[in-house]
Amino acid sequence: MELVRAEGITKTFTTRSGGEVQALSPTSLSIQEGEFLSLIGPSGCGKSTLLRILSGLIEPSGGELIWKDGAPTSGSDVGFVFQEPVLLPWLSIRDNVRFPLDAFGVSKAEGNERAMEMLKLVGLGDFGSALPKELSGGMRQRAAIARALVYRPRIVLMDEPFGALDLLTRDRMNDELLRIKQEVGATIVFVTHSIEEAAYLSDRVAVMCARPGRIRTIHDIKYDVERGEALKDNPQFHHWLSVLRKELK
Amino acid sequence: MTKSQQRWVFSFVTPFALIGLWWAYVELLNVPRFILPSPLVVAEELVKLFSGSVKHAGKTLWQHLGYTLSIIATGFAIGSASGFGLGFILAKMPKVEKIVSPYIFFFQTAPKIALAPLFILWFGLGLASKLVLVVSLVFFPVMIGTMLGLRSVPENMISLSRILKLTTYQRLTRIELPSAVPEIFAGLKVASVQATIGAILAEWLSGSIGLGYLMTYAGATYKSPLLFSMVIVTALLGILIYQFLGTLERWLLSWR
Ligand SMILES: Nc1ncnc2c1ncn2[C@@H]1O[C@H](COP(=O)(O)OP(=O)(O)OP(=O)(O)O)[C@@H](O)[C@H]1O
Ligand SMILES: [Mg+2]
Repeated sequence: MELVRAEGITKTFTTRSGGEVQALSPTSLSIQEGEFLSLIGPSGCGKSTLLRILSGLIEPSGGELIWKDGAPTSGSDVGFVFQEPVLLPWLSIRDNVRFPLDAFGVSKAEGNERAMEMLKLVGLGDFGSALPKELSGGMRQRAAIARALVYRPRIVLMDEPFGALDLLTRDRMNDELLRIKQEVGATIVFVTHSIEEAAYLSDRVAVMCARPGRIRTIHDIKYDVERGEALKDNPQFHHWLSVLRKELK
Repeated sequence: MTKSQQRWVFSFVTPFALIGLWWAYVELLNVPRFILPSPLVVAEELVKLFSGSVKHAGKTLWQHLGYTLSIIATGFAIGSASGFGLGFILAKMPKVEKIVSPYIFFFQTAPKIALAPLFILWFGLGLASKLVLVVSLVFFPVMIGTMLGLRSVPENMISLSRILKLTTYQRLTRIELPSAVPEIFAGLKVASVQATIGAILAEWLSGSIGLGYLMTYAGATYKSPLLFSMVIVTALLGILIYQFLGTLERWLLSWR
């Protein structure tokens, strides 16, 4: 079932010198409920712009978003994970995860319970009372993911959430994300520079290209085997890697 | 030397060594008492002062101290509240800031201490002119700290507040103000030192009560031990106020 459809979305930025940059030429995209959709493409092709339009952070210059149940009106409809964790340094990890619930008026007791549940899910069950500065980069990013999932948004948007992590941590986070996604069944739109990450995680991959930014092709990524470590040695996985790599050239 | 040994040296050995040097200088060179009293004489004077057994200018040290403290506290409260208020408005309304910032810059750079006699002319010899001086000294650091703090809230935190559709009030109280606390505190600490200096200077210039007045009184009547004691008392007062804010800051900003 379709959750949201972007119809002919465009975005033109006015630069400080008065010039105009077309970040997105008319772009259409349909996002299905419960799917994992990745956006890949060269730097500057408008991935973040498209994601920020979907989140409501910026308005498109043209075109429209059509939501299944109407445009999001409450903050609890959209989850966003930035490239950096963006945790509030003065709050404990648990309070950071509870933060959206507090803002939405959920009682503190229930908020704590749900925050701890989510922290356990992302493997931080023992770190609820720690401060953000006491955690590693990967742990902080997991807390940020927990914060975006804790209110069960209709859609979770992630802008290179693992871009700042080392490769080993990144691999581990990918596996965690697969598991978390299976448990909560959220709709996820995921921006990445990594072809491996996109092919490993996604149900669909949208390849974008630049000048002007647009979606070039969309691939349905299907495997005969379960996703997991073993997939990385599977010829089907390597097939997708080479398809995507060629398209990015 | 380990860290703790170093600390010990700095907080105990150094002061005693300095006092020893002072004492040796006075004793060995027979420096007259009204030029530089020996540390023993000053210590005696301090004991007398703090025990409340002597009155200078009709009041005990505690009464003078109480008056000075009340000026510092009142001036600090008024100055930091209004500094915070204007800093807040300027941070939130860039248009207003554009218009008023040249004037603010003018008043900020004007040497308030040199203006003190003018304040006396305008506001009289009493409490008002003293408070005006202290307030004018406290106001600017707090205003600038507040502006800086509210301006330097990370862009991504603002994005987060928009994703969550926080109300303006929620964003302010849950994100912007907590995030601005370090800069506001930096302003408050500078202001506290300024307030102490300002209060003492104002008493020095007019009135007949307070630590500052006691210093002019001691100078005018050649009571050198009293003058030296007062220097020590005022310096200690400044340190205590600064330390108090420092402790409060460490407690509030323990997440840093
Ligand atoms: N606020 C802005 N003002 C002006 N131009 C902008 C702004 N934001 C983005 N752009 C321009 O829009 C284009 C697309 O930017 P965008 O951030 O969406 O790219 P991206 O695909 O996310 O790149 P990257 O992979 O490097 O993150 C770029 O040319 C960029 O310079
Ligand atoms: Mg980007």
